Amino acid sequence: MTVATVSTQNSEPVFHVIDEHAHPEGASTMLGFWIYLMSDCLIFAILFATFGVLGGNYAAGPAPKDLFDLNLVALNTTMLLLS
Amino acid sequence: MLNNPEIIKAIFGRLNLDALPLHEPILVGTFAVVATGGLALFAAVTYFRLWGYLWREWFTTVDHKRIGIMYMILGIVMLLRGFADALMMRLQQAIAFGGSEGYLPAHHYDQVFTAHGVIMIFFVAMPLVTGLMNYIMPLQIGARDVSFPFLNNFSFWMTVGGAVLVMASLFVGEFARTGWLAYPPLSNIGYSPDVGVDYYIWGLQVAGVGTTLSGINLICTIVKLRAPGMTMMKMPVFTWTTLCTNVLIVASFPVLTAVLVLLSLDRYVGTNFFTNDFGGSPMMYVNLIWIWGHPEVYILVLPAFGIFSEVTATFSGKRLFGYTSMVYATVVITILSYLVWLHHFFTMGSGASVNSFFGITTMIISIPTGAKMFNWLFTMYRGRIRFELPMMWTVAFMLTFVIGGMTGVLLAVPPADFVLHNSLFLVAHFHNVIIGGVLFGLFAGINYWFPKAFGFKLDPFWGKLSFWFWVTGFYVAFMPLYVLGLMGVTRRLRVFDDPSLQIWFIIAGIGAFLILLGIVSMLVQFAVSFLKREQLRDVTGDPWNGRTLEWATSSPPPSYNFAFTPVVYDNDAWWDMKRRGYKRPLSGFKPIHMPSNTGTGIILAGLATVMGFGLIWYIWWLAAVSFIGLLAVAIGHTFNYHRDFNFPADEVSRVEDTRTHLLAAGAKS
Repeated sequence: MTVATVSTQNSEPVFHVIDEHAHPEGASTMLGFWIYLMSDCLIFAILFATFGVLGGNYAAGPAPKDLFDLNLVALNTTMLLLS
Repeated sequence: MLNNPEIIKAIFGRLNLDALPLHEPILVGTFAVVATGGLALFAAVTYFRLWGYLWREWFTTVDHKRIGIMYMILGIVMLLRGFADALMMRLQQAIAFGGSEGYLPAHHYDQVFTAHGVIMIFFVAMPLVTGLMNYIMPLQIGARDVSFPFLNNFSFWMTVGGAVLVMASLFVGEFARTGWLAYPPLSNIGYSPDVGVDYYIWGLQVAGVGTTLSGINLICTIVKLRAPGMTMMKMPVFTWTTLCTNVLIVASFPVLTAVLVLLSLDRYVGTNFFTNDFGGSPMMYVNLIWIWGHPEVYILVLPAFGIFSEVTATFSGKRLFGYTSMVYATVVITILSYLVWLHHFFTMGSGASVNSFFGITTMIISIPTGAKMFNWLFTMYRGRIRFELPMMWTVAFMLTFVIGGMTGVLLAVPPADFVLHNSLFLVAHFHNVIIGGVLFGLFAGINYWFPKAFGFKLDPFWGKLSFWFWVTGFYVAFMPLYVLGLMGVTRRLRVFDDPSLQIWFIIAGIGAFLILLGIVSMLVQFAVSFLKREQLRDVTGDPWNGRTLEWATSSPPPSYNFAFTPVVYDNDAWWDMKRRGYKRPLSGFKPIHMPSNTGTGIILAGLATVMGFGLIWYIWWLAAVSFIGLLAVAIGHTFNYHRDFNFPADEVSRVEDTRTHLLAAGAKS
């Protein structure tokens, strides 16, 4: 039992909200959206992890370097991020 | 035109008449029983003109309490299916000796053990746990509903959609024959060319969307909608474990989604993520699925720990011993659950140092768990203990779970695990913790909170019968499996050569029969309690002399939960209110802002299920059409502007007056 409890005991504590107003819904929506985004991030984390583990597994076949031009992709990504 | 096989294939995909298991008498018999039961139910609902009521009041509801009850019903129905599988396995293993092949052919037996695992985890334990969290947690924090009521309804129906797909596999096609985690390369298209694994994948993907969204929803609810004054360290322990569980759900189910996507790519478009050749790695799958799978077992058991905390404090008449340590133990378990996944496959051969690391982290988990156990014991110590049903389940849990925990620590020693891996010792261990921990917890919770949800207690006689059948049945069924495991019997075997083993399987079979009596007693308990509801009636809303806020409102609570949002000053808020002479406000009610019911959730989930069915059977047009339908309905729902309404003040006043009269009448008698 805390001191605060004792002191409020005599002064008729109020056990319910008297001046009630609706919950601020926006706050919940933002939080929910961020948590959802984080869960989506995890899916991509797993895909990246799989790439990290299996990405180098090509026998005699063409390697990603032979197939993709990453310079152009890098340029595209930079433009996308800056836009 | 209909003779052209190309057109038939375009319309029906892989689906043809051979998919119906007409040549399997067991399945035909099951289908006859299920179909008769289903028709009887359909006829009864139609006869009593209940469809409109069910649709308006239940299927489209956004009330967290009704959704919670629907989750519980789903879990109990699926428990019957999952347990039927268990009985079939026990019977097969008890008779398949001395040259006998038993009564189940291999391809059927393999489906049975896979379906048993999948159903018990995803469609029994998960719905029951989610149902209790859904029902109780918002009441415990003094909220009117969850943060996103429509999402809650949608999540529930997605879980049902997954269950429907898994159940459909019983009568249309087949289920996976791979074991409950569908390890590749066995689950790859080369070794499992049939629809079984596809049923597995899409059943879990559809249900997984629901689980993830429900996790997000409940986290937001706890973070944002707590009653004024309820700081984090004043939350009831069940709310704490709900929070940690849902953090685990949100942080682990995406892993399952991703790994199943990769497996689908292997099966549908011929990639080689998990194949044996072309650079694929089946062990990658095993690692990833256990990164989801280990947190999953804590997702199941943490809420059970929360239930035991509430029950022990209530029925000992004392504040919970070591609240702070209980909270920290829960959080530590939440974090540690991500650091132990490799103990499920020490035999992969990761080397001594990696195995030692995961062996040690695994053993460390027993420390916070042990702390919890002592907290419950010290709560009981010098308490005024009432041995009502919830408390009986709690005591049975403490004894049983400690045994399961200790065999777990045995398995955590890598050299020992090399001997016991995939043996019946392991099977006995995880049934020991899941039945003794999760299921006993859920039964404690059901007996504890049933009067809150329905306004009358459950019948104690049939409850005790069920309790004793379950507990003795559990020990008789699973202790022999420990013995068999130590003798080297591996799991999932269909026939045996060594006749000296048979007696143990017969004993285990008797145990399973005792558990069957326990389940039947429980169903009888529900029926008897309903018939005797006037004798078992509780009008106070607080039948156990409870401590947390859910007992502050009526039983069953009104749709708005609390006429006025409560203000919290202390742990065990309701106990504090009772102690300090709380008086129910009788006037001054205001209109309450409430969410409206909507049928969008069930429609979306129905379309998702149909899409899953199309993908399973390669009926591409059906999958495409239902996917477009999904998008259209989802976009259409964003234009729904009638999402909420104001529950009028005089209506609140009428509901609260009824309760005042009931309370007065109850006090007089």
